Amino acid sequence: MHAEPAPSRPPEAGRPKITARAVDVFYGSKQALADINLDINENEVTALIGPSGCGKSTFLRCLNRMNETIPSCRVTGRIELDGIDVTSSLDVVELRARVGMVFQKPNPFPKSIYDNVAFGPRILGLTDDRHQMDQVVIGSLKRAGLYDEVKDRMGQPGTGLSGGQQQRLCIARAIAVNPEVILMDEPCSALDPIATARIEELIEELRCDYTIVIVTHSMQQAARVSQRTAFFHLGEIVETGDTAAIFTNPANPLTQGYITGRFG
Amino acid sequence: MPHIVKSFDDELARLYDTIVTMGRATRTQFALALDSLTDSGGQTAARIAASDVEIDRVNEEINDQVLRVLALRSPMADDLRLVVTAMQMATGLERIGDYSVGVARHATALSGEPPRSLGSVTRMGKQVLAMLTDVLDAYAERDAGKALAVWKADRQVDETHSSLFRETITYMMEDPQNIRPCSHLMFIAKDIERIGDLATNIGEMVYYLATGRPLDEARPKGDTSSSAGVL
Ligand SMILES: Nc1ncnc2c1ncn2[C@@H]1O[C@H](COP(=O)(O)OP(=O)(O)OP(=O)(O)O)[C@@H](O)[C@H]1O
Ligand SMILES: [Mg+2]
Repeated sequence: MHAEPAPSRPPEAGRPKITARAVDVFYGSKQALADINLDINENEVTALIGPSGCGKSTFLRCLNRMNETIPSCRVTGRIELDGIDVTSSLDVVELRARVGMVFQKPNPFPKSIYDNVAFGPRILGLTDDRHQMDQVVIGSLKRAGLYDEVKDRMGQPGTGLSGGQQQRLCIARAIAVNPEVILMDEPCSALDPIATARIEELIEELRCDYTIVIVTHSMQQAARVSQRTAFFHLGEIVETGDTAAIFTNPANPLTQGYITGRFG
Repeated sequence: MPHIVKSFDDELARLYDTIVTMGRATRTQFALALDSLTDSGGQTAARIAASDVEIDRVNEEINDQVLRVLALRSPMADDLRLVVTAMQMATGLERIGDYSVGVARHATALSGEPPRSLGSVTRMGKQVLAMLTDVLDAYAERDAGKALAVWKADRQVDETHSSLFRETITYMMEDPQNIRPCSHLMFIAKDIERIGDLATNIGEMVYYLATGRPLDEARPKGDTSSSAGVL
């Protein structure tokens, strides 16, 4: 018997961080995703686009097993994080620490700004004392571009912030546990253009350290923030490719129809 | 398939039509310039000056339309390619108009004393006029194959230009009397050659518009007239 040598590659953009193979998802007897195959590359932003109800959120939820919270939902196929099966070989708490999520509607906990960010590290026991926790909270708020706006009111409720600030608080909360992947489901749909631009700038910065998957209904946003784009249609992936290529010269007529606003 | 927003379809159709119109005007302009080579009366030059004003106006109109569509519609994919190539095409066509004016201007200076190489210049002019006609057809039909053919034809024009250059130099050396008309002729030939290059560029644009891929083979180049070795 001899062990396979571990594939030790240096972290580099373009290496698949998450791979989905033959993924099917059912809600009860209704199939929501069929035979999804997708590589999500490390240190890249992957945009998932497609008409409402095509299964983007469903797919996103597969990546950190959020679908397990929906009783009727059944997922088959294989999803790997760094080559490890997320369903059979990873503890769900560990998985969600490594794969964080930001939702469409900012959903801060009804707690102080500080406690919102400290929540994850506390549960996971990531810090030893108050001083370390301060470092993590401040560092995360800074990375999310929110610190300067809230540093004088860390004890006030997170729900008292504006929508854009709340969304950045949720991003700070997601990165506080030092995840590897951040999933974002329409993170800017409730934000004005300025708040949206700040989140997009943040996404671009975060890409250096994280792998990001973003669902968006804005073609311009997908084009602005992502390196790769996957187009979903009726529960299937129709086309995946380099974002610039998808938006200038899509290969599939369905993609073309969708992104140009000609859907029949 | 039409766009869900119908007015977007109308705007793109209008932009496309305006380019076709501008192409037609530019082609007429160049054909007039070629006529002025053999027409001694000189009325052609006046018509050319007038139509150049019109071409400039349409160019501005196209730039306005492009800016509007980019700002208000955020076009994607083939729509984006249409809008971006429209802007490039308008610039190219506008310059073809300018070079045509140049041809006519030098032709006026020539009238009364047509030099011996005029036949070769007229032939070269016909080649380039055919290229321009074909590339505008290629645009109207979004025909990548036709665009590629024009792109390839530029080599011939460059070769004609090189041999015409040598021919003209020979006449100038034979008799200093020939120097004045022959220099005008060389300017005319150079302008026509530039129009051929611009038609070739438009061929590249049409190819990109139709296929989404750049025409990135090495540009055909047979013209060595500008290099010193030819003398
Ligand atoms: N909890 C659920 N129970 C039953 N069916 C569901 C559930 N969630 C989603 N679905 C169905 O699965 C399909 C995909 O839904 P999903 O929410 O993934 O789409 P989406 O692409 O994210 O759409 P949108 O752009 O509107 O957010 C839809 O037909 C939807 O009705
Ligand atoms: Mg969704």
